Amino acid sequence: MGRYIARRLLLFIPTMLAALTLVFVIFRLVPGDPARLMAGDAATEESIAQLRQEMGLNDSILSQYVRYLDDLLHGDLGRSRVYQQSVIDPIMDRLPNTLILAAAAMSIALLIGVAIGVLSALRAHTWVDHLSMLTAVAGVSLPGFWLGLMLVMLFSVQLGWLPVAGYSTKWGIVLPAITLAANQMAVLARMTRSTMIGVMHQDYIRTARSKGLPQRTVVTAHGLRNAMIPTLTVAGVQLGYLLGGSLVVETVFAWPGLGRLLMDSIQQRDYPMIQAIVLVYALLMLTVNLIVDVLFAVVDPRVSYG
Amino acid sequence: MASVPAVPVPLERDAEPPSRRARTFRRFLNNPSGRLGLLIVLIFVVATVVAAFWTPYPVDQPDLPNRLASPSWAHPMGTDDVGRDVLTRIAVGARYSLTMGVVAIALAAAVGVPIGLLAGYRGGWWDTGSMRLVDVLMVLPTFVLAVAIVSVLGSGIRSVILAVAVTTIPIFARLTRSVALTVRAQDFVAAAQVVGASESRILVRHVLPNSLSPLVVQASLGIGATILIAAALGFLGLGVQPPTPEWGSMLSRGRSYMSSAPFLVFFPGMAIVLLVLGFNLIGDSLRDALDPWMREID
Repeated sequence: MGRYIARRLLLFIPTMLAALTLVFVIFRLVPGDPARLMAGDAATEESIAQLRQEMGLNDSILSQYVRYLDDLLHGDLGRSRVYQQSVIDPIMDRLPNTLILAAAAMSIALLIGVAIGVLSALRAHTWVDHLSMLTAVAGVSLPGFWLGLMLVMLFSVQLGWLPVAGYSTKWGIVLPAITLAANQMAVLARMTRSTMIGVMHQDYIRTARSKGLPQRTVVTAHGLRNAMIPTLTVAGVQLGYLLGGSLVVETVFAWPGLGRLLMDSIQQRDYPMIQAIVLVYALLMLTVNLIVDVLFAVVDPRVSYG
Repeated sequence: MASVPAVPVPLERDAEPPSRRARTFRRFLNNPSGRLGLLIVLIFVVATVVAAFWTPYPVDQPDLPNRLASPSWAHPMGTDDVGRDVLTRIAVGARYSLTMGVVAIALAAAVGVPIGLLAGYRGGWWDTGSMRLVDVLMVLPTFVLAVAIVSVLGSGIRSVILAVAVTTIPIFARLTRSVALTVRAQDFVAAAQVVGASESRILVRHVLPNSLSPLVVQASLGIGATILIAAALGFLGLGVQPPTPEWGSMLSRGRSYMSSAPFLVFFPGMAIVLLVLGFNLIGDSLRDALDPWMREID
């Protein structure tokens, strides 16, 4: 297991390099001229030429790439054109908010998704099951921005129970977290249902039953515990989607996270900032995957890692 | 293939007897959610075709006296902030969502499937190399990658299609590879190799047809996912630009009038939900129909 974890940690380096390269490719191999893109439509030829010089776009693509990696290695992610400072501070200001929102959403999704999945599995092929699974397909089909607005309309505008937007109040996180959780909740419910049905047919469940254990113990201690492994794996993978979804949800709820900063930066053509944020998202996703993989090596004794 | 192969007849035939495909289709139609999905998608397709020739109101002509009218017999979904009929605009907008979904997935499959076929069939460094390359696209959350690409390419229908296609290539490549791996081990592939069929012929005539089922399922689910992403990009102002009646951008515009005219947000959103749901139901039911064993244990 130690070897597996070590190998997994080592693998992080080439994957990160791949991510860096991907971001470089996206932002440098623009059809046309990155400087023109950045300067905007109103810019003069002179200012574009000057920008090209500043950005080092006149050098070869290879030397641009090497300089880019070199800068990153020294912790230099670039200078924001809007904030007139290194991009790191604005990003670090926003990052915790995105993480809090993602964590809250994932907790909700796991809690409710697993509960629905278990209920469906135990009542398989009854109307409870059909209804939950139909809700789950609908949940996968919901656009986050629309769900968010509908929830605001219902709970904030009509009922006045929760704040419309924001971060400012204690309860402000409830609606964005639920919105962000909806898709994952549906995915996890479906996953839990199908694995749980498989697990409940296993011999050890029959053994547990024949020992005379109460249904609750059989379901939770024997069934759910085994069914959780694939569900948690999926949850780990889904965290990436959650981060992507947070981009939209943060915009809807004016949540001051990374996604909001990204959207603002796109509007302001702040390309150094855009590039840095995209990079941070990659780093987040790779780190989450790493943590999930390592955790599973520790937690799951059945899988042997060569 | 100028020379005549020695035993062409049994190999030329489709490896799957047609009756099996027919049975699959019947199983699909027997599933209520499959029928519902098909019905929903058909309604939108019909709406698109009809709206191409006739709409109750002009798509893009302001009618200011009638602005923000609530749903009524004359305007079943109300009118927007300049008095345009929302139902008309949603019907016309179906064209864009369907096009983006179908074209993006077709593009992704056109790139991803050959990569996956070669990787699965050839194995070795081809496999490792192409899969590593494809994996690079998966280091970013899908939506962030799409936003990054659109932010560079500029907004518009072409950028959205390209962005979504790029993010979906890995799914098709990986899936095709895994199916091709199993198909490669089948006897009919070995038989084709023995008679000296060329690699491209084996891939196109034998491996691909026998790998299609999961790909069709993935395509249906993928179209749904693409429509969602495209609408989200439209909502964020990065997708199809107004005055084109794209659902996401309509919704975003309607947001400013949310308290006085909530239907401006509700109906475009409903359209997105229904169309995506339709494709998801079709995909799910196809999967069940193709995999009767899975259905048994379910």
